[in-house]
Amino acid sequence: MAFYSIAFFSFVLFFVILHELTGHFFPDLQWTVRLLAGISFFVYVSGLKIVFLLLSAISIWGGAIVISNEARLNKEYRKQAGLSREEKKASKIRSRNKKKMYVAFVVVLNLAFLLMAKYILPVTAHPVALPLGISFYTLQAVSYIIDIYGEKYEPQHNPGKVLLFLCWFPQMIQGPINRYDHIGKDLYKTYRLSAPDFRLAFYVFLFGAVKKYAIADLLAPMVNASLNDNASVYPGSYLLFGAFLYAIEQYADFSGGIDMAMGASLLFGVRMAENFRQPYFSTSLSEFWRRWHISLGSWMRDYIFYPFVTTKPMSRLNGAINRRFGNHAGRAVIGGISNLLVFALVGLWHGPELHFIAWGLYNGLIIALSDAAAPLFASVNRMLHIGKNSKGLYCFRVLRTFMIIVFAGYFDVIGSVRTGFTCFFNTFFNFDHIHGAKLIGQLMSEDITSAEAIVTAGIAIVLLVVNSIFKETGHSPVNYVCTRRYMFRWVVCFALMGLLLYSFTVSFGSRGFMYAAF
Amino acid sequence: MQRSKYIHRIIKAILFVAIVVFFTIILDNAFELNEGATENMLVAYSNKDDIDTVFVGNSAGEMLDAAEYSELMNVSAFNMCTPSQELAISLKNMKMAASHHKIKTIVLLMTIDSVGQSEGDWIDHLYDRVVDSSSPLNVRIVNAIRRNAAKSFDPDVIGTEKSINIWIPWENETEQDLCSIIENLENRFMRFISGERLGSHIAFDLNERFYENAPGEMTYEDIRLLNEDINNAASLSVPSDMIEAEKLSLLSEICVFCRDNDINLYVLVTPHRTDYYERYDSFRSYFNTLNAYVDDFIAKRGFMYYNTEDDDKLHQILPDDYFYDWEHVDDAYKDQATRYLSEVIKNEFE
Repeated sequence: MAFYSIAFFSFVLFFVILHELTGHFFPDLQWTVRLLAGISFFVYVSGLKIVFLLLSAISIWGGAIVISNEARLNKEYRKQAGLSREEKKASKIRSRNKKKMYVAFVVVLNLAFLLMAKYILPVTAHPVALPLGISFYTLQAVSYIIDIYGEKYEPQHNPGKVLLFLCWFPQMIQGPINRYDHIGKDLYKTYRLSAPDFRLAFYVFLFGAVKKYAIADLLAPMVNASLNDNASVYPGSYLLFGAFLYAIEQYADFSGGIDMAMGASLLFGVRMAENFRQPYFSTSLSEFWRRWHISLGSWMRDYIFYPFVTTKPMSRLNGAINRRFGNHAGRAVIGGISNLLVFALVGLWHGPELHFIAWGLYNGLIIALSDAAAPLFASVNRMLHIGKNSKGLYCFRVLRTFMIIVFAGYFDVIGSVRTGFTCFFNTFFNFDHIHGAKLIGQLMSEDITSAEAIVTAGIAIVLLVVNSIFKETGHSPVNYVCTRRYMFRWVVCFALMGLLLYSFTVSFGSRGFMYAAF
Repeated sequence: MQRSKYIHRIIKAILFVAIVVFFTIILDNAFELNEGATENMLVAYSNKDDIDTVFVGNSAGEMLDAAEYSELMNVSAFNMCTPSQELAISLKNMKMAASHHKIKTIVLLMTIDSVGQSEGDWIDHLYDRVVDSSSPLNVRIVNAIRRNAAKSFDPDVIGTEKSINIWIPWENETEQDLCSIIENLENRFMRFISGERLGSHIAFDLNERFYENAPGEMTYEDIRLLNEDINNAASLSVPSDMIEAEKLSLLSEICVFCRDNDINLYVLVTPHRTDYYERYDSFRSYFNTLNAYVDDFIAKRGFMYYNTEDDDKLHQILPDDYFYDWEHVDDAYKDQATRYLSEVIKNEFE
């Protein structure tokens, strides 16, 4: 079900009305409307595969209570009078081991569901479609149970509320990966929709739709024509053009979808986790990953990177390298290994194909190398008398990071690692701008796109860039529009609606969200 | 206080919707080509009396002149063929024809390659609107809402972007240049001022003379060369599969409709130039199979099918010089084409 469809609009309208009525008459039960919306949405899209979701919810609900009880019992036991220090310590270790066993069981169980649904069932003789949002809600489930183990917050005793945390409908299509401590309060609170909140939700949704349909969908045919299985025969200039468009398309598609999901969620008073913070203004790849798909990046950092870095073997290795080569070397090696692991997993999370893993490793390797070379860069800057706050240096770094991301597209889009490498090679050693320009010109003559589509996408991209610049400098264009008088708001609204609708007239067909496939 | 606030909000909401509707109407009129072939044909048809025979199909079918045919066959015929008319639209035309007059015979004129092409629905809303054009405004609005709602809530559409865009009629229009948009608006405005109905006979007649060689401007040889260029440049999309299920279902629906309404249906593949199949090189065998399949399919449903390709005399009666391009007869030779097709219909179907 597309966000921009009568089905979704009717669905949201029905549940918003029900939500408001329940909020008026039975405020304490308002969360059940959200739960009902989540379950209905899941069943509408994935039918009986809701079993996967229910099993996940039951496992983390039960697991969290068992782990929490174990911690409570252990604390009570240790408070008893007359226990020796050794007995208390032994009890603590026993309890921790038990909790570890429970948490491992629940995590393995949930990952097994994900593994089965995403990596095993699709390649069987009778492939089965993915249950809706399993890649996203599984990570949410794992984060919940690990946080309970770490006693970050109290477990939720109501299984319905745990299920709601996993199946909140706007997050189901392509995330973000919400955290319980962040979204929980909003999910269970009583809320009445106000006019300013409605306006905010509307404009967030509308701008998201413009990103998706006026940018991503209009650029997609050109990207598909340039970055495909035949890409190895194209000159570097053409490939670079395709990869550049892909970087824009991917951002517009993913962040547009997230905006639309957030807009829908705001109508119910639920503010979901921020997933993008102007990623193309990043000055390094590691910063990019703190601004791009933030919810996945922070999940990987908290539940893979840090736990891995602090394992005993890694700590020992760190100590050994520190002693022999100095602190920076230890940090760079341990960070590098951890980044490679994390990004290989990020690649695998996108899909079981080799090119995704290569794409992940490309990211991990660049981050590892740039960490290792950080002192070298610093000394070069000192030598050239370039200050830390130099605007030129900032622009250079932003451009450099953007190009690194553009090149990553070769592995991300093209289904063959070998072809990805050939594209890389062609970009640097077979640029051939004359042939490339001819091929770019052919995109229009071969009915792949049209001048109208390019102009429409161009206008929308300018809007996106202006919006990003304002946000980067601490302003919020959406909030600004929402707080103006209605005449101004309407002009903006009609302009965006006009752009959106016109984009459909020049579009060569819409497709689902990229990240919905992950 | 609270009450006046709510009233204020309701008024603003109504105003908002009114502006959206207003712009939709303006843009619809701006983008949708004035005097389009379908629009003109339908309006021309609605002005006719006592029609008992109609021709439906794509532009190739325009070679059959209705007036000449009526004289030759002693019937009252009307040609509903329009450029790129797909089976779904042909079926709509048949239904409209039958709802206005007592139709005895329908001739479905096709080119064999069109049977293998996919269906689209780009003209649907225009068709519906033109059909409604003579109704009072309130009936037109109610009909439009009813039709759009039915399409929007169709299970195959409801979850897609199309479910919303159906309500924005101009969204389906192909892009027009600024001059044609301005001209369009001007024409429509003038027509609105003068109170003239949609479409006109003159425009339809002009449309009928589309396939006319302009002596001195473009010779047959020029056109042949132009066609060759097009052949070399364009990648012809011939489906690899036999025939699309949607096409078969529509053909079947057409047969059922004719049977239920006691109408004689003649399915006829129109004549073409000798180099017609050269465009498709290796697809000749595909078309032979397609031809046999459709023949059998129509026969099983109690109607007849005839491909003029099977007639040895075809190219003697209609030599290549008579064609505007590979499948459209030059308007100067329409009479010959009509006489030929009338003979075919008499001999093969009646």
